[in-house]
Amino acid sequence: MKKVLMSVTEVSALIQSGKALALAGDESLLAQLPQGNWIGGTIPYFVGENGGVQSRELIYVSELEGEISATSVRTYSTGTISRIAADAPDNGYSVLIIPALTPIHVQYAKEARDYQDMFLKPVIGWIAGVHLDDLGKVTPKVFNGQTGEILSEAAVALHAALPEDCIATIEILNLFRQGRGDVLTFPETGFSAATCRVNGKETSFADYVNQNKLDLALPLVADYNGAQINTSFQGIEGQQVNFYAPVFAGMEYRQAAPVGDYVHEFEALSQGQHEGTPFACNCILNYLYGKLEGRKTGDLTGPITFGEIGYQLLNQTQVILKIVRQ
Amino acid sequence: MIPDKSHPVWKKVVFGQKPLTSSQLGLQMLLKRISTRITPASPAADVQAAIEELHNFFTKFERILVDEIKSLGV
Repeated sequence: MKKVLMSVTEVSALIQSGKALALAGDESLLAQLPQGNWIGGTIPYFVGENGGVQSRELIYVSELEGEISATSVRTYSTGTISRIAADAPDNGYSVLIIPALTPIHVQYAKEARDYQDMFLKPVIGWIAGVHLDDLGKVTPKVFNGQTGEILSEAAVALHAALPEDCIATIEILNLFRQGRGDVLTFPETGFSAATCRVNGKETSFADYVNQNKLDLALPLVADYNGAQINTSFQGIEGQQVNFYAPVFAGMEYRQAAPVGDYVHEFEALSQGQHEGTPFACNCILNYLYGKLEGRKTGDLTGPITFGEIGYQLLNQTQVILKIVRQ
Repeated sequence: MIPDKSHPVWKKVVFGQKPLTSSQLGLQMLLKRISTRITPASPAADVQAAIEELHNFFTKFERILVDEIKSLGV
């Protein structure tokens, strides 16, 4: 399997050779890299060539090699992020990294599906985070390698153009399927909810969660024409239930059906022909609940993230970029 | 062959009267967004915009939407 975890020296050499890179690692490592054709985000958790690992010494490298005919690196603010797909080349893809727990994170999560050209141009990426011990002490950062900017309130994207005979698509691997329980709808789009409708009847969502002893490791799942899209629980604060991605007003959710053995099911799901995948990432909740540290699952590697981007913000999902040549 | 955007099948798709199955995440998400926004009571301009977007998606990704184009049944 290709080497994906590298030292600062090794990554610097790749940058200096002109490679287009999407990087993940500790802030102190990314800050040492030379300027070049790269973007990066902070996180110390990865699935590397030898399995799940946390490291403050190594950088995860997604080499966007092969078919690319041109690239550009851009920084986006809350005022410009709506241009993310419109700015992308007509045929290609964009890798986007957004710092967690910021206004641009929230804005993208709520509004991305309405951005111009979204779905016509594949946007894949992740939400940068921090070591779980540093939550509340350190802010997640993203890096524009071209300008050398280190940003805590903006997003960065690497737009890659592909030749005519190639098409980029995004695939997801999701352990979860809608269960057969109650249909839940929410009155407002947001990262938290005080009330919801349970099979059409309005109720306190916190009371519903507590009374029904919902297992918060199992996300809410909406059916997007066959694609199972998760919204993960963060926790309950008083009468407020918090999520890692927004619930959308009017969307019908059910809690996910229980999975048998999380680790084995995830392993089975990850098996496949993924060699040559230019970019993939997985969720920190899968890493934690799936006990991926020290384990090798299938042939997919990638940063472990505070949220995945497959067009929209996703939770508890492995996201994979595929290049189809025809 | 992708039907012209004036073909009535597109209106049926955006109104959810002609279910389309696909394994393409982009199309699944686009159809979901359309279904949450567009109904037969929606303004004609909104319906037309949804049809244009869907038609553009099919045109761009025609090479990998062989089954979806067949299932339009046109």
